[in-house]
Amino acid sequence: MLSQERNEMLTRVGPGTKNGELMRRYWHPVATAGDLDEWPSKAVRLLGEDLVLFRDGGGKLGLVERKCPHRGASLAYGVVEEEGLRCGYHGWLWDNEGNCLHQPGETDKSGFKDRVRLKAYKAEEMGGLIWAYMGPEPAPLLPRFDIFVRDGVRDIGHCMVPCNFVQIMENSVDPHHVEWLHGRYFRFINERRGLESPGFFQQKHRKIAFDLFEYGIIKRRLLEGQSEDVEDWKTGHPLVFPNMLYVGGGGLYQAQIRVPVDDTTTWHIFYTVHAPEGVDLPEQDTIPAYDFPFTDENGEHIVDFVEGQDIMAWVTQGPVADRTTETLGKSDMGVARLRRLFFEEMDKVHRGEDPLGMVRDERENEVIVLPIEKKKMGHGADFARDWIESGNTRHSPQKDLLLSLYEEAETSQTSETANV
Amino acid sequence: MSEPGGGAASNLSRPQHRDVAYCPHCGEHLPAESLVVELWEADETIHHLWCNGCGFTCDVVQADTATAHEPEH
Repeated sequence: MLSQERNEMLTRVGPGTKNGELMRRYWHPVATAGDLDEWPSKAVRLLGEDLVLFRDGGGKLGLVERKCPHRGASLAYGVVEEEGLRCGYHGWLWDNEGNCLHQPGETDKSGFKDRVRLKAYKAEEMGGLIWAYMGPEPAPLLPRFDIFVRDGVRDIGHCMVPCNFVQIMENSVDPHHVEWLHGRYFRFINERRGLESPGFFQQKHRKIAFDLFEYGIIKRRLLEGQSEDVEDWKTGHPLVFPNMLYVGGGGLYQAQIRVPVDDTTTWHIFYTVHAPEGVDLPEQDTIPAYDFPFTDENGEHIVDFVEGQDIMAWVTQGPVADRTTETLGKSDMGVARLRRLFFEEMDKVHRGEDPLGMVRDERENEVIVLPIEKKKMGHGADFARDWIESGNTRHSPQKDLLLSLYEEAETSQTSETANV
Repeated sequence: MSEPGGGAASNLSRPQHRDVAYCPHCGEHLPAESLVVELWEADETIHHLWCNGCGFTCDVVQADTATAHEPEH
């Protein structure tokens, strides 16, 4: 349970709020790279601010406030030119640093254009996503976590979830929910439809643990029948602070990024790289990005897949979970640990220090390798195949190709074993 | 401990919520920026606490009855 005051502090992300200031110290995805292919500008919203993302004629990315300072019209309806974005209303031209380059209705000698500025933020592309930084200078480097720069077949499922991002992050330090929401509940749903459910989600937890590391929290679990030398316990996988979970197994690597659009909306990205061992990976010209449904035509949650079950749990907690009425138990220690981390890091920012995980060294940033299990819950490529079939990847336009990669990996492993 | 929080009233089995107000280490009043999370275990109420004044972290366990062990004799 938290007091209302602390719940507000934990969940509000707008300008000037404590967590908003913390979240502005980190880079966040604001669009997929393909979003600017069809049209070179896009209205976006991040941390409660309405913005426009664009790629100018020279290929430079720009991320600026959406309202033109002249008369307040939306720059999302602007003209993208070689040097920047021109307001569609009266033609004021803005570059990606927020400088006004041209005011067609004003005389050049007035100096007026040098006295107006547009709020502008940094934007960079990495791994098929466009990332934004909205904090103070000097900006930290965009962290090159291995999943975003490694070889593999990329796949991006995403959806706009109508709730605050913190309750989604709390789910990532709550290993017990897997056994119940994706185990027992999934089995209940599937039994009524005459279908089988993935067995590994139903395994019972014996122990869970959370360790702080330089980029967040390592989450460990020990399941019934496992000894402590299994990867689930020895290696674990990380919650990359503040808003990413990194999971995987059997050649599948997935970053689940929870982008705070505002206090009650989260853009959830399932960024997956498929790279099973022993398989020649095909080249990709474009990275498929698809919005997947999580409610049906009646507005009811679709709960016959893993992410749909999670989204049901997050959204039904309310737009912002009311933590003044919750009843936490000892099994929620990970949730308490994460909240403490948010408060500690908010405090560091308040004191003028860098929060956890800032990367400022180019050499360190060549590739940042995060810990991850290769064999997940005792399973290999079969885990990855079940993940595809029972998760949002079932909506991927390249689902059949992805499944064939893991079939090939299993065949290759079987023949290697036979040759030993 | 401070006054009961209002949100808990809807849960009839819940004892009155009493947030921890002072840090057991530095003794200062906990500012709002400190974290106090209430957890339950069996019949115990635990306040997981981080004081942003002195940086101390601990679990404060509410004890209505003082209990002691009795060594074998």
